[in-house]
Amino acid sequence: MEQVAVTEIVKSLSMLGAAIAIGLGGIGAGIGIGMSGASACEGIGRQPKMSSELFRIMLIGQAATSTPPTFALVVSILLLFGKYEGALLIQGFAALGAGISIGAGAFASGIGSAYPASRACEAIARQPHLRAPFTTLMLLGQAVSQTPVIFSLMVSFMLMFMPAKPDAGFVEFVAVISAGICMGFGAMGPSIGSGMAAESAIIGARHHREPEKAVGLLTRVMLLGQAVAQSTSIYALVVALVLIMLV
Amino acid sequence: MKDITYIATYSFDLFGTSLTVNTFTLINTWIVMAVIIVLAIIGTRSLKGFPNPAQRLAEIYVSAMDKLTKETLDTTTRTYMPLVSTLFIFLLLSNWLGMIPGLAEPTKDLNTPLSLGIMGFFLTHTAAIKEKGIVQYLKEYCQPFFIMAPLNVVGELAKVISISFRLFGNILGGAIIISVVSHMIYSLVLPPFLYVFFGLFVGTIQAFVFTMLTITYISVATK
Amino acid sequence: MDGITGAEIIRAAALLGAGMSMGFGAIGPGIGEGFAAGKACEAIGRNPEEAGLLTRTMLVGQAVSESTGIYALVVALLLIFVVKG
Repeated sequence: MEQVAVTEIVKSLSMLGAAIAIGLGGIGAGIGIGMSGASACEGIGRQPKMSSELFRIMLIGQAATSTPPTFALVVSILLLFGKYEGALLIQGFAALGAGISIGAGAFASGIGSAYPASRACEAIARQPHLRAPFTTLMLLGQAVSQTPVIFSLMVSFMLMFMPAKPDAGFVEFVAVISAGICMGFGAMGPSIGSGMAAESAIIGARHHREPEKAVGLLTRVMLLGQAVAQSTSIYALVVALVLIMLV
Repeated sequence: MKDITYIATYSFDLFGTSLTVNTFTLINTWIVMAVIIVLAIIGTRSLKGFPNPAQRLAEIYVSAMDKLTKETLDTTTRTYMPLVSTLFIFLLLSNWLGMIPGLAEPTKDLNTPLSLGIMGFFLTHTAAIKEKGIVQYLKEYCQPFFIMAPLNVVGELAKVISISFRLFGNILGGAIIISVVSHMIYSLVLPPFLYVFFGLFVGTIQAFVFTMLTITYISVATK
Repeated sequence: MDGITGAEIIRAAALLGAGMSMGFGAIGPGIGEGFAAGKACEAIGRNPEEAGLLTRTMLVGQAVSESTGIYALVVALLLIFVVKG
């Protein structure tokens, strides 16, 4: 009777984690994909001849924007269809922590990676001959601005698949949820910040006299700035790992 | 999950203290080092005024690194160029090594990025003391007030943590994602695509970021 | 779950506080540093000759705005390793 109750609790906590993961993680990308769609619409309105080109760029940018919610979906499915027979109570709390971690991380990363996508659509509509440098900057900036959500995913997987200690008590339950909160919210700021950096790199390329030649320099500065902006998410990763290892 | 975070170790006693060697990481690091030595020998085997393809590639690489170092450090000397070019190619090949089945990235073990980060830390501070003198160097820790000195010291130490955990987290995160996805679905398309993204793309970017940050720390500390 | 002692509650609260300190403390510096990096990129686009100076200024500005993130890290580590409950 006791064992059944624990299994039920673990299952419901996992369901809650799955719901938080995809529910929160979907919001950001929903907003973000809409933003790049809006920019593409404005661009097509201004330059109807460019519609097929802009449509292609919009889809590429949106595909990259929807990477973080895809991570959230993977975690969600793993939590929904996990095995709960004989599970320990700590695994339920760890599942909730995993959901918070990837949910909050994917929420911000969806918005962050939409900034460069939307700015690239706008820039290409105004300067169609420069689509190659703008697309390069957009894709590089998006890929690097998704580093914090990769850390979130890593913490989620660690929480879900960590070996459970049978004698875990109240302190351990709180610690795994705390690790999820730490990494999830810690990934928010850096994702949005590095998305803004990538957006401004595209603006910088537009202001340059010869944008093709500026891409190398701007990519270097953008990567450096994004890397430094992500250090706080790395501190969050360190704290989350310490919290997981202590348990 | 267990096979990802597991690191093969070998312990032995030396003068009464127990030492542990991460054998798998060590072997993979040796493989990377061997590849770099072979590449260097091939690139410089027969140096001519009209270069052969291998020499041409080596020249492109070295001149690109020379330009990068000089632009970042804002100097005309080549003091740090050999270090920078070696660091970049070492990290690049280390991050790419995981794509070969049976081998793993040495950077997936925290010890490798952490030791490289500590190396950069000592390099930065030696360069700063050499450039400014010890008094001016110590004075900068007391900015803006004297009370802030401990926090400035923590900030310097946090740089080592951030530079090494950035590389470690990216490479280990990629490895975990690839292994979980490969266990979940038996698709022929997705895992190779993930290998290309995390191995080639993220690996290259992170190797570049680590190298750039090492030079930039030196540049900021000496200015 | 009936045997939670006061010490356990303190320890658990400290760990939760550590996670929240670092988690929420990372938001501000992350956005701020990204903003600085973005403005530096814009300025380099307008004035590529001053790229070296702009990059150094960006890094110094980011280092200063990162100090609050480092304070959060210090507080989180103190909460984890010093507060034993």
